[in-house]
Amino acid sequence: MSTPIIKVENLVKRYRELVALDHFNLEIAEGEIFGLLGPNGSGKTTTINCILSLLSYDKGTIHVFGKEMHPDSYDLKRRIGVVMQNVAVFEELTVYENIDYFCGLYIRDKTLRRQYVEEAIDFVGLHEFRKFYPKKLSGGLLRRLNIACGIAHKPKLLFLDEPTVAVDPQSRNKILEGIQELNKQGVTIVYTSHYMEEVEQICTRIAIMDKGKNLAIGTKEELKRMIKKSEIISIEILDISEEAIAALKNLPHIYEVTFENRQLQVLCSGGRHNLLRVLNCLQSMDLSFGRVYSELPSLNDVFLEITGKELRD
Amino acid sequence: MQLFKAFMKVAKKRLPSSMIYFVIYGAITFLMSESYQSTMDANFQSRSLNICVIDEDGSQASKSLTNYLDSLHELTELENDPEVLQDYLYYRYISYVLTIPAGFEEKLLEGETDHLLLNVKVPGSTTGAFVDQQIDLYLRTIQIYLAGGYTLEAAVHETDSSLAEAVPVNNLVFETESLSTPKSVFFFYRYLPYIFIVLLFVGLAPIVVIFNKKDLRERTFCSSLHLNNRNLQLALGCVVYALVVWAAFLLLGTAAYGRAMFTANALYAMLNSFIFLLISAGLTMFISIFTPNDNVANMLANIIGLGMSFLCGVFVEPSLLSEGVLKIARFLPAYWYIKANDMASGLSTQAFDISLYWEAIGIQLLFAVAIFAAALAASRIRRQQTAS
Repeated sequence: MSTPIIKVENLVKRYRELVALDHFNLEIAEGEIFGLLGPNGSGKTTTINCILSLLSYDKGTIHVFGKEMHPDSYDLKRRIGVVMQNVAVFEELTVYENIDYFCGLYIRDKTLRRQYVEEAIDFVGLHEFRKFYPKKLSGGLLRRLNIACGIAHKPKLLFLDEPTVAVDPQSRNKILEGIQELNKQGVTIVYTSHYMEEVEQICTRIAIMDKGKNLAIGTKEELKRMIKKSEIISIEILDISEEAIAALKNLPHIYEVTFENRQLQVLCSGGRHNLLRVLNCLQSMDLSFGRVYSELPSLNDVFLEITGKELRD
Repeated sequence: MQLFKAFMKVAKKRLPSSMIYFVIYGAITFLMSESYQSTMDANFQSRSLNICVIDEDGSQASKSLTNYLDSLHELTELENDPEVLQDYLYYRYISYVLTIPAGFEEKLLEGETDHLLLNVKVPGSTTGAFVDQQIDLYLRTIQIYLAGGYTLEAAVHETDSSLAEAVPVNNLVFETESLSTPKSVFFFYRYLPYIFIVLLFVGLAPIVVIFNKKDLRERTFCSSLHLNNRNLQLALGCVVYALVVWAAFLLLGTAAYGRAMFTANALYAMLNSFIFLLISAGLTMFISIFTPNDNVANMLANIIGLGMSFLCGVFVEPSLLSEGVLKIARFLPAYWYIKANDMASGLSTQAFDISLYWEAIGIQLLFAVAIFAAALAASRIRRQQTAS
C-alpha cells in the first residue's frame, strides 16, 4: 500500500467504563472506497469522529494526509468533506443557500464557489429544488442535500456516515451511484453503514467492526475467504434419514448438514463441485428432491462467523 | 464572513416573530414608563398628608409647630378620644396623630430633646417616618436658634423662614438641563435593561441556538473555518442584531418624545443604553451556548431579566432597596446602568457628576468585555466537551 491517506494506530476511546474503541488500527489508501461495517454501537461513528477531531481519544495516533490530525488542523480539514449521519442543514436557508454556506466555509472565491455549488446541485439532482426550504423536501431529497453540503467544496477525502438511513430505494441507488462517481473523480471515501449489501456493492475494501475492535479487514473476496463457509447448498426434500445425513457429512469439504422444515442445508468449506457430489449422494440413496440452490457466503455470513451474531442485532 | 451572512439570512427569516416581540415589548416599555412617572407624581402629592394635632400645651411653641405642620399637610380636627383617633387611623382617614403634651414649651426652652411629643401613626408606614423627620427638623432648628440666644418668638420666625427656603436648595446641585428634559425620556430608558435582555433572549438567542445545534456545530467544526473566526462572526451577528433593536427603540423614543431624546442629558442616557445593549448581546451569546431550545431561552429571559431588574432598581427605586440587596446589585451590570441613568435624569439622590457617570459606564463596559470573553471561552470549552 502507498502512503495511506488515513492511518489510525492503537486508538483507544473510553466513555467512562465503556471502551468504545479498543486499540483500533486502520489504514486507508488514496482512491479507495473504504467501508466500515458493523452493527449499531460497534464504534463506527466514534472512529470517524475521532479521525475528524470531533472527539478526543485516550490513546493512539491519527494521521490524515500524512500529518497528525488535531482540532486546529485547518489545512487538513480544507481537503476533507463530511456527510453526517443526521441531516445537518439550516431549516431557514434554501437548498442553494445551504450548499453555498457550507461550501463557503472552505471556498472564499465567490465565482469559484458559485460554480462548485452549481456542480454539487447537479451532482445530487436537486436542480429543480434549489429554491426549496428543507422542510419541503422528502427524506431522500434531504439526504441528497446533506451530501451536497458535504461534497460541494470538492474534498479529496470524504466521510459518509450512514448516508442512506431511512432513504427510499430510488434515492439510495442515486446516492450509491453518486458515491462511485465521486470515487472515479479521485475522491477517497470512507463509508460507514450497517447495510451490508451497500458496502458489498460499492466498497473496494471493508473493515468489520464490533465492540470497538477491528475484527477483519480486506476486500470482500478476502473477507469471504477468511471464513470456513465457502458455499451454502439448500435443497427441498420431503424427508431424510439420519443415515443419509451422516453419509452427506462424510463427503469431502462438507462440515455441516442440517434438516429443518423440509429444507436440507449443506455447508461447504472450500473445494469444487460440492453441489454435484451432494446431488449424486442423494440420488445414490434413492432420495427424491425439489428445488436446489447454491449460494456463496455474504458479508453477513462473514460477520456471523467472525462475531457469532447477526449484523443487524 | 460566510457565517455572518448566514446569520443575517436566518435573522431575516425570523423577522416576523422578532417584530411581534418588538411590538409587544415596545408597548410594555411605554406603559411601564408612563405608569412609573404617574407613580412618581403621586408620591410627590402624598407628602401632603391628613394628620391630626392634639395641642394640650396651647403655648406659642406648640401653636407655631401646629402652623408649620399645617403649611405642609392637611390638618384634621378630631376629638381627643383614643377610640376615635384609632378608628380614623385604622381606616386611613388620617395618617398621623401628634399630641403636644402640656409643658412642651417649657421643656423646649430648657433645651430638652427627648419625649417632647407623643404620636400615633400607621405602624411601619413611610409617611409616618416622613412626618417624624419634619417635626424633628423643626424642633432642632428652633433649639439651635434658642441656643444661639434668640427669643422664642424670634427663633420661631427664623425657623419658619429657613425651612421655607430649604426645598429649592436641594435641586441646585443637579444639572439644570436634566430638569428641562421631560422625565418620561429617562423613564423610557430606565426599563431598557429588562426590555433588552428579554427581547434579545427571545429574539436573538434562538438564532444563535441554531448555529450551536450539535449537528450544524459539528459540521462547522469539521470545516476549515477557524474556531475563533467562527465565534467572532457569531458575536458580530449578535451585535448587529442588537444594534438594530437599539436603533428601533431610539426611533420609537424619538417618535414619542421628539427632540427631547437628543438633549445633552438624554444623550448620556442614550450612550448608557448602548453600553447595556452590548452587555445584553454578550449575555445572549453566552446563554445560547448552553440553551437547547427557544423555551429554555424564554425561561432564562424571565429569570435573568426580572431578577436583575428587581435587584438593581429597574422596577423599584434603588433608594427603597435594602443595603444588602444593593450590595449584591453592585455585582450586576444593571445596577450601574440605573445609577448612570438616574444621575443623567436627575431622578437620583446622587447629583450628576461626570466622573461618576463615566465610572458607571466604564464598569458596564468591563462587564460587556467580560461577558463576551466568557462566551468565547465557553464556546471553546463546548468544543472540547464535544470532543470528549
